[in-house]
Amino acid sequence: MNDPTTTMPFSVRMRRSPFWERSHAAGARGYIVYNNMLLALGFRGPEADYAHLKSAVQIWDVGCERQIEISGPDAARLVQMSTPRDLARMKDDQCFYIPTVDGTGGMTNDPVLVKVDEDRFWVSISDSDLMLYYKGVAAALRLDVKIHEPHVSPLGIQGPHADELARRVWGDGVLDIRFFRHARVDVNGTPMILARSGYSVQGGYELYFEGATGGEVIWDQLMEAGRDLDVGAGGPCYPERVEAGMLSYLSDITSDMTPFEAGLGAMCAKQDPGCLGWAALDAAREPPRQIRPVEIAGGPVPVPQTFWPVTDRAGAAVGRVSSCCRSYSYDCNAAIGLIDRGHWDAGTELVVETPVGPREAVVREAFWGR
Amino acid sequence: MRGTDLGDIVSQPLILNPSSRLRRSPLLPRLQKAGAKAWSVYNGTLIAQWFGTLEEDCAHLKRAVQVWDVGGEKIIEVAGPDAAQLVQMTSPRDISVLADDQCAYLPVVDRDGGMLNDPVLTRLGADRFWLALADGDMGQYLKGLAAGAGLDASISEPDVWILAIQGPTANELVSRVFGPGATDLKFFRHHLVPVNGRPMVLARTGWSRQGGFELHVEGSDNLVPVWERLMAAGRDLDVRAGCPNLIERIEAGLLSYGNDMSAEHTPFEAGLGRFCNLDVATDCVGHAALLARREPIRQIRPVEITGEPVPRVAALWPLTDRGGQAAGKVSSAVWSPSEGTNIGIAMVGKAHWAPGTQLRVETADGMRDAVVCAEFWGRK
Repeated sequence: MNDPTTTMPFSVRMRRSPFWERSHAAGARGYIVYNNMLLALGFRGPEADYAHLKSAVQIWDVGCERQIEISGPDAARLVQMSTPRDLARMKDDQCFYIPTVDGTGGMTNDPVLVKVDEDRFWVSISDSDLMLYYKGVAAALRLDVKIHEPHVSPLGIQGPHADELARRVWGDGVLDIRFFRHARVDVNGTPMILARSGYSVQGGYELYFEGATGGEVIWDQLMEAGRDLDVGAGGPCYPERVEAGMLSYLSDITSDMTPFEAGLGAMCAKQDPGCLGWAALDAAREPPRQIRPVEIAGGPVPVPQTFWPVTDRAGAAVGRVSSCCRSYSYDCNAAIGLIDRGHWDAGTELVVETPVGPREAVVREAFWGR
Repeated sequence: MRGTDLGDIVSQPLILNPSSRLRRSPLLPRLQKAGAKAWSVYNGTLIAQWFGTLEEDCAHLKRAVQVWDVGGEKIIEVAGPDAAQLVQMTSPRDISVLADDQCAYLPVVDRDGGMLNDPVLTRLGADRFWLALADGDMGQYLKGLAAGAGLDASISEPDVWILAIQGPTANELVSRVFGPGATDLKFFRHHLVPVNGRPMVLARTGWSRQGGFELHVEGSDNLVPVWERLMAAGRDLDVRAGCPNLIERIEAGLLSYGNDMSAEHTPFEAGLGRFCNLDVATDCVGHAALLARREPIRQIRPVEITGEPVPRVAALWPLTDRGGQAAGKVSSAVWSPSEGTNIGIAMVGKAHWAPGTQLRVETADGMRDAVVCAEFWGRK
């Protein structure tokens, strides 16, 4: 992915997490801007980062996954208004991946919802100002809630050795945390939430670090404890997530898409759980287009900077490709497409307009390794 | 540049092409060719930071004319029967008095009166508005308000990109390209001018105090042809590619949302009280909170910082009085060649905000003396 880089001057507007200095000193090669924070991508070179994530364990400064804290008597009601996923039976130690939608059913984000207490939630967001949506709804309906962005910065511990590393630092109890559940662990003398979640399919945890400073202590502790596990700094890995079909809000999912189009229909309740976009969504259960894995023929292609048009073999427009990587494991061009009904069946032959010319492509049954 | 001491690091490598999430103007290759040297991300859009040096760009902006690709000022369109009501809910400024050819600088607040954005509102008709955003997705706020209140208004991001034409000879350039009538516009008014055979909105607005216009280019395909025409027509005016300039905007006291103020500040604290019509019963959701917070205990002030040119402000710099008592924070600062000193924008507590108050500021490279000024330099 030899990304061309340029200079981005610092400003107050471009924020950094309590782990930033450690992550930077570990050799971050460059950053993208995510929720107005710097997100480090790349430490060893693309292929080495990928291989390391799949074989060892990485510590990720994902403080840019900001938390929106919603608390108060109407907190649960407000969160439910933002999503078609039924939150009624959410347990106190549970995390939920929730598609969030506006009043017209368009996706506003795809956060992980963390239930901190009965009347207190953290919405761990992908890249959009979802807090403003909550503030708008709460103001319009005069809800009894408090909405703010606390100093909470997730730290990812991802990779096959994540369990062993977490066990060494916090004890055997962490192994009992089930997928998308959380427990409190001791960090610098303070109990903090550790969840079994993360933006890779290699397994691991996310620590919800509380505080504007002091991140270097736990960072150093993890690095020290995992030396023989080949622990190292990392970040969300583009080829790993594209192969696995992990969607990225703003890249693959855009605000004009419904959860059904994003392939998240399974997250949508059958009966209205109290979602403001319900009427619009209920009428959109049969999407005209949907996310599909697409394999693009030929040699490597660049990473998409804009949507690549997709046509059928006769040249008619049938969709777009939003993410694409050269798969190191499968030696092919793995892509995430948004494909029209009628053309989205596995095996359908298509053409993708890449920056290096049109390429033949085919819709796959499943994402790679799934 | 790489180091372990944060104070040594002025900038970071920015990865330009990891995905389709970064909005890119079709003018990008032209900006690169024109010498853009540093970039930032604003409303998810790549924006240039300077072309020559900050000093050279500033001097040129003050003597000639520049064309700015400010696509980072993303446009949100609010349309429909309840559009005016929806926009009014976001702001204490009374928008009912606006004419159809008017623009208005709009402090946008939440229920607590905290600032969420400070866009320029362009009224296109009784039920259609554009908001040119500062950095923050105000579309989410509008969608939340509309969904909660059940309003009949659509909120969209039209394919409209702002090209700013700024500088003392902006009038001459605009009249050459769009006709002599094009410049017949009062401050913060707009009208339609023919662009590539299509009428488009030209407003006398812009993020500098050098005078000029903002052209709302409809259809990103039209950006390159318009750019070429402006550059060709202004050759003898020394027209250049430019961008909002840190020195000029601090001299002028133009605040940057996310840098100089944020959701923890009221418009009164930001020095924007004149845009708050609290005597009018607007539908602003922050009306009650603002009534209670109308006497600020801290406020934006211009400050001069002594000594050599200061480094960039990467995180807020604490201000103290000479006795060591906390007095506020500096959010933006730069060396001004024309003032011959460092100039800055600070949020200063009431006990310390009187002009002439002597303070100390903890910059990234050490303590400096500072003094509160009576007014911003570019307004003198």
